[in-house]
Amino acid sequence: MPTDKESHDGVSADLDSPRPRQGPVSDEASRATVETPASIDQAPDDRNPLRVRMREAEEVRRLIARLVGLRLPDVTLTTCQAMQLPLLSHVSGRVAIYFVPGDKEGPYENGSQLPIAHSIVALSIAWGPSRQWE
Amino acid sequence: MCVSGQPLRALQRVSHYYDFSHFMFSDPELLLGAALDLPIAQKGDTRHYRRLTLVTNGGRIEKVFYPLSDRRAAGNARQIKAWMQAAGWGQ
Repeated sequence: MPTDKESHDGVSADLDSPRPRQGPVSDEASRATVETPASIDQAPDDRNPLRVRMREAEEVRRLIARLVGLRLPDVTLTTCQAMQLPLLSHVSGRVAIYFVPGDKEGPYENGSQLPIAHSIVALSIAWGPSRQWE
Repeated sequence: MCVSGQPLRALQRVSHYYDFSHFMFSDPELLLGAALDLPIAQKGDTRHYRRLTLVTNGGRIEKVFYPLSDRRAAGNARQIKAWMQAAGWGQ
């Protein structure tokens, strides 16, 4: 009868031996250990809603963890008044930056839908006309 | 303020149409998104930002609201406003 320390089909385990010592594990390394292997990601049950949601939630968690604490980059964007303005010159103090998707759910003007109208209406309703958040 | 991947003319039209007074930036090249590696959606040949809000303090990102539902855009905006009020904004 095999003992704990004996081999089974070439695979051996010594239950009495101490675990190998490991150095400090970085956050990235620890996250890597819980990642789903690519072979499982491509499995037929990839469309399992629960699995998809879990993966999306993990991606969101990583995105937020990565972004919080970052400084905004020094990019120059165009305002509605067609002025080229460095973003950083406009974000002193606290600022909420709402990224508006390019949806086309708003009303029509001259036969074509107004892009982002849906988002603008939503912001107008919730934030009001004041610029107190900017 | 708002940032959109829509071209300037589209922003001007919608801003005028709704008399929208918040600052709006046009970023058709998605420069900000590229610099921060933000989530981008692709529809056909066009790419645009996904609905997301960054709260910054002195240019540093303090809070991220994501994902924000397209169907509940107004509710999301209210949620963000409520958070800002709780954090002492606008007082």
